[in-house]
Amino acid sequence: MTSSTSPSEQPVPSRVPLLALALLTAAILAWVLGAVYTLRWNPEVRFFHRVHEAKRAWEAGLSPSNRVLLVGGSGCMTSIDPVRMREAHGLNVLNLGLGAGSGAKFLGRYAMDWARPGDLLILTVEPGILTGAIDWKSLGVQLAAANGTWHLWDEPGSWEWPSRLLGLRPGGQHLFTLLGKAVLRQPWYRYGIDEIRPGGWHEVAARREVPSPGPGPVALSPEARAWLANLKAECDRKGVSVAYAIPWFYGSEADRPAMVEAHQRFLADVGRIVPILPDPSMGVNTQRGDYADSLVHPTGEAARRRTDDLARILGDWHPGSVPR
Amino acid sequence: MNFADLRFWECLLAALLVAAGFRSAFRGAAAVRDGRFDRWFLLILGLILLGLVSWLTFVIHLGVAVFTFACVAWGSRRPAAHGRWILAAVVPLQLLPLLYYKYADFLWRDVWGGAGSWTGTVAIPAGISFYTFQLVGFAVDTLIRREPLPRWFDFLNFAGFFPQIVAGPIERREALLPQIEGFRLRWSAADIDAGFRWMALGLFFKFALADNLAAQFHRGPSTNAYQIWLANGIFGLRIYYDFAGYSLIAVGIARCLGIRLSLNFLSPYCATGPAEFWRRWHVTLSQWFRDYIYVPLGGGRGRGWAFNVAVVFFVSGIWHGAGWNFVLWGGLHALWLIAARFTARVSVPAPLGWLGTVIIAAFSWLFFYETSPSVLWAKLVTLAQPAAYGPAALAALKASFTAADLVTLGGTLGLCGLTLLAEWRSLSRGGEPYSLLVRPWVLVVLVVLTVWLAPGDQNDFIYFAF
Repeated sequence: MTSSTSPSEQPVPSRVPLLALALLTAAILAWVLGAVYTLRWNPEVRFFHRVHEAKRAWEAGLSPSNRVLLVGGSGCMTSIDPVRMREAHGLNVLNLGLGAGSGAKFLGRYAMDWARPGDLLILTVEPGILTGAIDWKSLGVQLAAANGTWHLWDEPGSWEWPSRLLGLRPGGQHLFTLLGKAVLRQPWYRYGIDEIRPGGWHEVAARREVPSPGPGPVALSPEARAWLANLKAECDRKGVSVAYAIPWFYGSEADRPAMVEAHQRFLADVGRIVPILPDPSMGVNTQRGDYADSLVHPTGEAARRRTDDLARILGDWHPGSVPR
Repeated sequence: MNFADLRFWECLLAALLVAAGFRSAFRGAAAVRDGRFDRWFLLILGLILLGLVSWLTFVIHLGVAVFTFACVAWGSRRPAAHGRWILAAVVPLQLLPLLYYKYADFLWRDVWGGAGSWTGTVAIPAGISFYTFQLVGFAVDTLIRREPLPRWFDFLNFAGFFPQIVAGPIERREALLPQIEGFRLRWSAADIDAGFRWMALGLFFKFALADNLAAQFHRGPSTNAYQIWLANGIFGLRIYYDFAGYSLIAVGIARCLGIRLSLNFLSPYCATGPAEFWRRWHVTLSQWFRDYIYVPLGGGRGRGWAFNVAVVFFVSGIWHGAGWNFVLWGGLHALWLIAARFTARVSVPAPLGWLGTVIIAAFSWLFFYETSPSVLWAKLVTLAQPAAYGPAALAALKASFTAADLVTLGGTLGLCGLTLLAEWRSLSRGGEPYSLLVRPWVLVVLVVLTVWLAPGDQNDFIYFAF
């Protein structure tokens, strides 16, 4: 039987495990380089950081009371124009949408970091990220660090900093994709900083054929249910009202009935924990031309219409609770 | 022990620091000087780490270990001639928890045709397949070969040595027990360096290769032959680098503590035939089957050798999972080995033998990962249809990937290819498997790649499911 003896046969002259130290040093240096790259040069993190800065700048000009905070993935970020909300509808809206890849856990903590007593928090988190495990995703860890909001890493009752720190690395998918882009001479990231509008709304410039996704997930995972209940409890403690609004997906006419049914079931599940913002479209839009490059990224024009729709829904839903 | 969970490493480091502090403070105490403290430390650490996995894992492990020791202690005081009868009673009882947690639902639903579940939603206690086999081996060696009974806490350390309890290597008593009995917690730069070599290689296998492959592996229905072959190939590489990675990390941790475990994988994808493949794949399990099933049945001699091979691979298949697909997987490997023995006189060039081995192994993985009989059958039908290999299928395969996934898959497969090439070079130079990969400068590169390429989202080790 071959045993683990083979590589150790070479004599080590001192009591110091030099190879082990060299490997540990290499690991630490690689991590430091990876962290510097992630926080300074990673194009995706840089893009979202700029979106975050735009939101901060917008918040500074908002009235401190009667605010509506919208949080979700890129569907939220690309669909709602806060400037239009204020100028056309008189609503005091802060669009906190970022990448869905940052995960529900980060998005929830990000929203609660902005929320103040008296705010109305509308969750427009994509159902797809509420049907599995709710844990920290690398992008969420990286965005919290890049935005300087390190305290978002803190978990009540546990000390997770070491594993969060380990999240400050590029990862295989990112590095290989970057390498592929370098070889094919493509832009480092598909979205440009110049697509970020005031208030952190992302007006997508890219265009790509968007296929209909078919019916999506229909039920919250147990973890997502607990996450949502905890978020609701935290909002209650903080004096923040909370509701859920289904994002606005592209779906073909053929897929629409199944998608609507799936969304109805999903909303019934969510509705047991938080109120639902009534949306006559049930989160399905059959106009393919309204979508830029993914089934939740509307074109600029469609986003303006979605903004108007949401403003009307907010007004009709509970006029007394909607600050103006 | 989940080596992919940072808490394991934090616990281990904290425990070692506490133990070192205690040893330093009480270095004059008899228990420290004669090594009792070290062995107690190892035992308590193992039990704590096991308890952290789950209470069920802790209780079942302790139950099987205490039962085994009590029976073997009683049996070893009986006349040697009674050994076989005692074993005939003890081994089924040792296997009982494994049968219940792993096979009760399969036997009830799939074999008997019953409805519902016996075990409910309770997860299989971690490591039960591995430590049960190790303890069966211990009982056989002690009662039949009349090996002396160890001290009870040395036995508990042997049964629950934390680096290898959850997913092996499955160690024989003569290999591990003497090391456990003489265990001392001491600083050895040579052992630490050797341990770090294996750990670094194991971490690279797991995080840089297996976990990136896992993100690209999709099971489920498919009528595209290329997609099925690609999934088989990805799964075959993933399960190898995942399990070999775990085993190497276990070997490395043990080595840092001064204990030498067996290598569980010896570059199996460099094999040129099925017999060699099984001498290189999950070595300690293959040896367990050889020593405790194949040889007692008569081994390779006599007319019944094919039957003996079939029995071994039936048990091997069902050991890997409670499902007919695993039985078929074992059966396929048995047929392959039997066919290879019948055609042993036919001289096959090594490259052709290697290609055949890799293709058959890749084909067999379909039976391993596809647990739905209807989907498995549909995929087999697809693979058998020449029309399923047209250019349209190839184009559909390409279209099923995003550009990012395609580049990631290509990059990861390229890295796997380079790693396999290094394994092959190690063997062809007459060296040990992985000897090129554990060279210091290569390891530095692998460490850097591990840190940069490991996906952020955690993937558990595949063999935890067994």
